[in-house]
Amino acid sequence: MSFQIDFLVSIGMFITMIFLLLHFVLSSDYQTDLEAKFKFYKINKYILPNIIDYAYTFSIILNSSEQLINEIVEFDYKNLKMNINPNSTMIFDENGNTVQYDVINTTIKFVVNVSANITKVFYIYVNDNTNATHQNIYVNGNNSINESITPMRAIEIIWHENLIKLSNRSYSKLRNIVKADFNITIGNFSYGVEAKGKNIVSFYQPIIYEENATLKKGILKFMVIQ
Amino acid sequence: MKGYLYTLEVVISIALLMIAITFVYKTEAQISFEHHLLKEYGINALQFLDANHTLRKFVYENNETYIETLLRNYIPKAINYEFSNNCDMINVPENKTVVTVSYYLAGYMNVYKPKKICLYLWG
Repeated sequence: MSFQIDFLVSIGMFITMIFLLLHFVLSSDYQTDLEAKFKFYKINKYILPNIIDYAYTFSIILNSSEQLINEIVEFDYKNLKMNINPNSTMIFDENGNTVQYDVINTTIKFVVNVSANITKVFYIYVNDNTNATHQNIYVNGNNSINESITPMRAIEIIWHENLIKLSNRSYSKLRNIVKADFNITIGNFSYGVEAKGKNIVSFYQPIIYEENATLKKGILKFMVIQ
Repeated sequence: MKGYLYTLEVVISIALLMIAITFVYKTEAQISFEHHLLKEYGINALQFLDANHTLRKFVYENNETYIETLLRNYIPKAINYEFSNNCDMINVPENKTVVTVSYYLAGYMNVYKPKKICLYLWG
């Protein structure tokens, strides 16, 4: 009799253990993590490379012991050994204001006022987009000091053109690649399905992006909808 | 009958071992995924500040506090972090698993002055 009780208890324990084992292996948390990882991998590999592009950036530094009015700043991409489209240049001052410029072949010219003994820095962003066009402005002034130019660096950037390309792509095709509903947003741009009220796993990346013909700092969010 | 019970004991032992192994495997897999995300967030935030010409200015002005304030905008609130201009580990918890992101800068403006900075992140 006691043998039979022992046997039943053992069988009970065995079944419980097997059940617990299966439960842990197939537990939803663990699977969600793996699934989300896999889907992020798909977004990272197949979608983001089409929208995240590269740009080159460098700074121009001006310093003068006396005040300068209408000082011309001038640089030539040829001298910088850069094979890019000068029309894709964007220039910003330290406060993030856009600076208008003139393009003559591969030379960029713009005009600034410099206060005495105050370093002024301008940030240049440019890429090799051959389609970029630019409205030239007339630049007039004096070129009395030499500017310093920092080495160029490549940075990640999202151009508006790439967002347009993404919005023209079929969502259902991309959904088949990711194997889940997803949503990508940056600034006013959104692609994919609405994630409101649904379980999401999200990841975000701060990035510089182009909107309304200027560069902005923003956060690229991509969400996998569970 | 006794031999049969021994077999049953062996089966139960194997099941217990498998549960233990599953626990260990599950924990490691989750930790590595979390660590990967922490690192990704840290690298992205530093690269972004560098791309918009903010990082170098405050690193070379030794303004760690301001960089930490800026980073808060780009790292999720659930993640804790500590930024160090010289990679010291002051204010980094000893009892937590901390991910370190090292970032190298060549200089600022037109001055060549290589520097290594560190961002420590933990959950």
